[in-house]
Amino acid sequence: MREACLNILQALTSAEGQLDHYSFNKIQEFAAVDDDKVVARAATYLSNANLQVLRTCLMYEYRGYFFELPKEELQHYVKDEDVVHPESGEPISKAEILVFFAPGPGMQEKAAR
Amino acid sequence: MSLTLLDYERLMGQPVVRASIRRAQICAGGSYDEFVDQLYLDIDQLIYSMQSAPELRQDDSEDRLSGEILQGLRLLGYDAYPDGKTGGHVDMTVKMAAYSWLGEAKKDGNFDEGLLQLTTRYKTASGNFAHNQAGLVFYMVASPNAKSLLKGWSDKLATQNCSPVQCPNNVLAYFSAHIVDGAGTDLKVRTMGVSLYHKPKDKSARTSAKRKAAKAAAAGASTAASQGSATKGGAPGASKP
Repeated sequence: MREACLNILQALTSAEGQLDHYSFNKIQEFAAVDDDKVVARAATYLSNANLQVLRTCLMYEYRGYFFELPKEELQHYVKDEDVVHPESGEPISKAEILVFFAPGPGMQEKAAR
Repeated sequence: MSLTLLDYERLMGQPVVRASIRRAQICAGGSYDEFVDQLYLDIDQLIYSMQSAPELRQDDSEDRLSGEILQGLRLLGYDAYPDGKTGGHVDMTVKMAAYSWLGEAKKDGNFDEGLLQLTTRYKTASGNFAHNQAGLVFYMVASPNAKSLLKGWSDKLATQNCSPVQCPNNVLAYFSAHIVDGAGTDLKVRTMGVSLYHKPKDKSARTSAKRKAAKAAAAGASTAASQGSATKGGAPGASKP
């Protein structure tokens, strides 16, 4: 996992790491590791409060575009309550919510330096 | 193909994903109560992990045991360290974003002393008395009945009007209410028992104990014999005046 973390960090600081959001597949490509579980653990570790290299984003789809779920819906998620689609007002299942990773404040500080 | 939340939970486990998002939310402007709620869930998981292998921790010191909890918290993104200077050397100081929490640990011992340290010696690590929660962690290696010991402690707190309440999440945890000396502010303390007693009585344990005792006796006999022969041989400096 250590190597996966270092590879992700290196890719994010290089020229190719300039997007607002990265898919899990892109993070896996950065990590250069085949095992999904290791990549997920590395991304979760890099998202922790001390490092904040990544920020885990839960996103919903609307008219072909993806948007981050608002704070209130994240609160519902952490309390194991229904998450509601912000546009339709209908509950959305976990299979409809997509996980992306954005450069976190820790990464942005590093880039600013 | 993108990763769905369902996939992510399958890979990491639902509690892990949920806790990770909750901690990020706390850093992005969550409340002190949310910080403490999540911290207690995380500490409980670390305690359960320790309790699952008590045989490995029989000789561990109080600091070593606390270090295990602090290390686990650091991996989860907390700023967690021992001996922060907050009116004395407190066993556990935990911070996240602007929030802080103190914990005092005791191994097989003095519950009262731990509580007195929290309420009369230590100050909040942030200096903000609105951060009004702290913890007592009791490692119980020698006690064969942690629940009963904690019940006695809870009964004692009740007689002191500290309103102990059983924690709904952890059977070996209680909340109680106190006042901080000096500031006069409220302090909510969570007592957390960590049961590490390990003296199995089954056949395999009895055989293993017998074998150990025999081995120790043999080792003792061989040491005595070698000491005796060294004395007989008159090794230089070996003889007593």
